[in-house]
Amino acid sequence: MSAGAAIALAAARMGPLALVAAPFSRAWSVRAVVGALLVAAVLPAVMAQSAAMPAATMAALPSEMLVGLLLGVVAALPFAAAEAAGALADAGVQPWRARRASDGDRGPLGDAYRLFALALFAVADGPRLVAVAAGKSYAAWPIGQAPSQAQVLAVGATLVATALALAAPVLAAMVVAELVLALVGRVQPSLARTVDAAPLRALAVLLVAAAAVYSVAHVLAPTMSAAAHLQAAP
Amino acid sequence: MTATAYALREALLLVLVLAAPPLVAVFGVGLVSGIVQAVTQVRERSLSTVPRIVAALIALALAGPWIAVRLEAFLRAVLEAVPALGKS
Repeated sequence: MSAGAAIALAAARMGPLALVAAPFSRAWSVRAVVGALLVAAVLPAVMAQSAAMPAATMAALPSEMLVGLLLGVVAALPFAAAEAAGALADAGVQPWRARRASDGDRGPLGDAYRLFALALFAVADGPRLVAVAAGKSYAAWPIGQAPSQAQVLAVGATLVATALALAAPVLAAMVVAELVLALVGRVQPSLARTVDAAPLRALAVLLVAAAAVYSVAHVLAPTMSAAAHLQAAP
Repeated sequence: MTATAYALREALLLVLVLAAPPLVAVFGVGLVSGIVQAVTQVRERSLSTVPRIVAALIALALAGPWIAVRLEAFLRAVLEAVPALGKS
């Protein structure tokens, strides 16, 4: 296989990773540079693997992009979690301030959490970890052996089930919190006007979600197992 | 793929854990300032806003090292689990 084809294969996997993963800045130029560096880092592994598959470059490109997308989502998870936690804390501190996600307005604590996560990424040798993970991904998913459609659907179904199972107790907690606030307002209107409802809602959601997360996982274990078996199936 | 779903679930739990310290502090301070304002009949937004912001900052300062440990552990675990993502 030619060097150009190997570079195309590496770029097909590393491109989505550099695009999706949040730690590498939101500027396109920075993402392009990071993508190029990742391609250079994994090129030896790609050339070694692709030597055995001389004519399958184009056919392997879609599956390589799918694997890169999955890697990008996984690498973006800690940053998405930090930003979401910051946004949640902002909602408690400034509940009256409307957020417009389309403007990139995360609020001060959302920005602080994001910067904190970026600093940790740098301190924890994150760029090297990402490069190593990208290289190891070729052992986990050899070129052209991306997850099948059935596997992707199974994982999607598992994730939807997880989201629903997590959301159900949270919604119930919000209803109870609203009921309590309404009762407080009925009994003592002056207290209800001054007690902040947003932190109470957020606290109730946090407590219930933290209490429910492990029981939800226990309930979902059979579903996840089914997804794993689907993946193992040919 | 089970590892992917597991990582996403852990991320959701991490959101709750990271947001808890400032939220708990803000809730406590907001409750106390609300009661004080209800008792004294003094209604001033800054009397609840400023203590809440201060409480959130203090909570973040106190819980910062713990948050950093949790976040860094998750970051490392996620990136080091990449080979496991391709296995059942």
